[in-house]
Amino acid sequence: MDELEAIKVTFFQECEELLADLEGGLLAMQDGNDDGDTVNAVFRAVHSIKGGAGAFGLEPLVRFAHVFETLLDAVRSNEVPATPDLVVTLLRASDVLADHVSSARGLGVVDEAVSAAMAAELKACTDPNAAPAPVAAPVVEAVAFEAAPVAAAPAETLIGADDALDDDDLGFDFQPMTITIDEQAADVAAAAGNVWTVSIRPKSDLYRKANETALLLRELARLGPIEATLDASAIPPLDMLDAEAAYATWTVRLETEEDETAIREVFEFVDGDCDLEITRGEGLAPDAALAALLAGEAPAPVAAPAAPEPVIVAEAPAPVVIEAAPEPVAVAPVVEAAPAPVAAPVAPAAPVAAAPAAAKTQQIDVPGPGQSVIRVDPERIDRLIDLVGELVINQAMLAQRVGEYGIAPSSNLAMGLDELEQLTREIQDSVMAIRAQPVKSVFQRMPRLVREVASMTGKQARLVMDGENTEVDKTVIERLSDPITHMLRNAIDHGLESPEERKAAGKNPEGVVKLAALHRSGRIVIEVSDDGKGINRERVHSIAIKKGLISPELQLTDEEIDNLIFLPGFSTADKISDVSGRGVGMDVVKRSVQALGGRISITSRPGQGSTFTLSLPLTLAVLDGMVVDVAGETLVVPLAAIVESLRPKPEEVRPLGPVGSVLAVRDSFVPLIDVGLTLGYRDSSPPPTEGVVLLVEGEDGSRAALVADAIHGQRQVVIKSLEQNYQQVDGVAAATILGDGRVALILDVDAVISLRRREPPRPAEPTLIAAE
Amino acid sequence: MTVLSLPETLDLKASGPLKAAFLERRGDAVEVDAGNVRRLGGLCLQVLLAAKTAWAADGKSFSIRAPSEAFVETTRLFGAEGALLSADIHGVQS
Repeated sequence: MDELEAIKVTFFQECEELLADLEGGLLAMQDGNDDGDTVNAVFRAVHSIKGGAGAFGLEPLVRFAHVFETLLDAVRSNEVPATPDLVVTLLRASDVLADHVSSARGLGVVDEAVSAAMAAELKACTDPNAAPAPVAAPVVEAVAFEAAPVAAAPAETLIGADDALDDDDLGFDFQPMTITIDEQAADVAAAAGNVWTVSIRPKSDLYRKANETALLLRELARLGPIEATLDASAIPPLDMLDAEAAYATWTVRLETEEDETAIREVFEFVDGDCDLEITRGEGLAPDAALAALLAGEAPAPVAAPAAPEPVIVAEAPAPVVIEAAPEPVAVAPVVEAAPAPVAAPVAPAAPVAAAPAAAKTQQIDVPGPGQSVIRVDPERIDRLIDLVGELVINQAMLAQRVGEYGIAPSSNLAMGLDELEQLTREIQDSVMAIRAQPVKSVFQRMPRLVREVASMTGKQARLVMDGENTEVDKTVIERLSDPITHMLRNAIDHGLESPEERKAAGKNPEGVVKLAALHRSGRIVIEVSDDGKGINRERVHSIAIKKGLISPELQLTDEEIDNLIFLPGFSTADKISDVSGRGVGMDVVKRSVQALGGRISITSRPGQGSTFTLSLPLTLAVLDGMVVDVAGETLVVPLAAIVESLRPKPEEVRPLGPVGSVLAVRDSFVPLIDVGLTLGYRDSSPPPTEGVVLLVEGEDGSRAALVADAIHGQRQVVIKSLEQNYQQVDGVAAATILGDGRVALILDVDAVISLRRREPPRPAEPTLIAAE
Repeated sequence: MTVLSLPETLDLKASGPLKAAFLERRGDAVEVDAGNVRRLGGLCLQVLLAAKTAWAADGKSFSIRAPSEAFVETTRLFGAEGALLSADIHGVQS
């Protein structure tokens, strides 16, 4: 990947974030939060995408973003009210913009007709009085339309974000600006409050990041007529010139009605890569070129008394951050400034803003380069996590060795080891925190999905999201998107009824689909629920029989029938719809979730809706566990699942059926599960009273008592995936390496509970309720 | 007299090769064909300006032939028409 490609990748990463911001902002507006900050954030997101796209010459994206941005600008300035209808339109426009970004990235193609229609719609929203544009050429129209009000400004350039755009294509003739000394002198005399002097000193990084001074100048020209004066004095002789270094600087005289913020926004993308000074009024172009240009009139602009805020020029390379001057600076030093600092090549003199307020803004708005977010190759973090895992194992081994030598816990060595353990744990937490991300990044893509699926299926759906800030390891996040997408599609397509059906059932025609994330038992749980008709159990049952998935004689509980939809080859849709049933069944979702060490289940109530529950480990790296002995094997039981551990008394154990037994725990009965038997380590269970019982709770809240032979203690273990290194094993979640170097299996508590449920033939197993 | 044809895009990637192309032709009068240029960036502008200065120092002729509208327009935008373009081009209203 060459450098430019790498920058492009970064740009698209940023686009993802910006699109998420955009949608988030629009959704906030939809919820009635249309304060200036939100609207500004929305505008900036589109503006930033446009600017970046311009740098890469992504013309269709720039054009669409431009039309979009124009409307948002009007909303921002309250020219167009942000009505709920408008926000809906803006949301759809954000979808089209996302398509353009994807297309520019080479992922998919934009539907030109949709894009054109959307652009026309945006344009119509921007100015309802404008003649409706023919849909066939909306973008061109939109740009021409934008140019119209400013046609009088001679130096107005278009689009601005992309100098690769052909002006002719845009139906607009470029009007070049000219610099004549007479005009300039006249202007100086007439200098009004709306004249600004913008000093631009690009750094080499600006070009390296594929930004371009020409674009900045063009953007400035969008605000009003500009006159740029080039200072080429710092450019070295050709043979000594570094072709990729920035030498030239510019001083731009800008006439605009806009305020300083608008001017600063032009430079939003080059923060830190460009020294910038913006002063009101005429500034002295501090360079030799202008001195030559002005041919002996050098002091003229400085002497201009008409400028409302006096501006002076420092005589030498000036600091980037300007100290606020409490009082307007006297004009006295001006004369000293007259000799242009030709000898100071890179940093020519800087105009000093006299107004303290202006200087202050400058300090805030030009952040240093160190304030940005660091982007790190995830592989480096993964390597770090691996190493910390090894450190944890190593520390455990060391502790074990020390224990073997019988060193007293109060000794310095043992205490030092404790501290080491503490530190190791903290390092591990910190490293994991680097990878932890809120699920928001996945959730934010879902409102669009719901909109699209609802419109395709003719249903009305509202998405309610909860727990977007729940954090989970990045590796898990990346794999959440597909199952959530599928579950949401399913919820709308199969779960929700049509508006008519809903009305007939006395429900709100608009269905509610809820997407929630929460932490439970050390795992992340994602719930997708709808308030639709629920699972038609009769139909599911009959389809399963018809497809030969189950035998007709089998008696199933409601829950078991619901879970039939996860069987391979099951699809309830009579016809394959566009939305669901595209060959990816729930069984595929279930398998992909299981591969991650997760589980998926469904509960449903007829007429009230269904809930899909997806549970995944928070991280795929570490786990707090209880180390136990079972039939001579060492196993690890996740601590999060354990409620309590106890040694059962004989009177607490009651037989149940031919082989089963239950344990009386306080006022309830819990099935006893011999782990050794379930996993096949032994053929018959020893009496439970000889072992230890771990009372565990599954994700669905069901409890069980796991019987083990002995407990070794609690330990943090590093998870080594069985799926990656071997294969999936029923009842086993993963493996780990113990302090003594042996491999131990980590128990999958839920799987062990359900394995036991399945093991004995059903008719022989009366339910617990029957026993009571 | 040697002719140097400028590519369509004069951006970051073009600046190094452009400098090399000028260095190769050093000592000869050069005619820069800017007819194809659609995009002129700040870095290549610097190279062109440095080259023009170098040719002037060598006492050799340096001219820009038939510049495209985009070239002229961007040069003006940069405020570099006086330094780079000859008077006849300079005066043209595109």
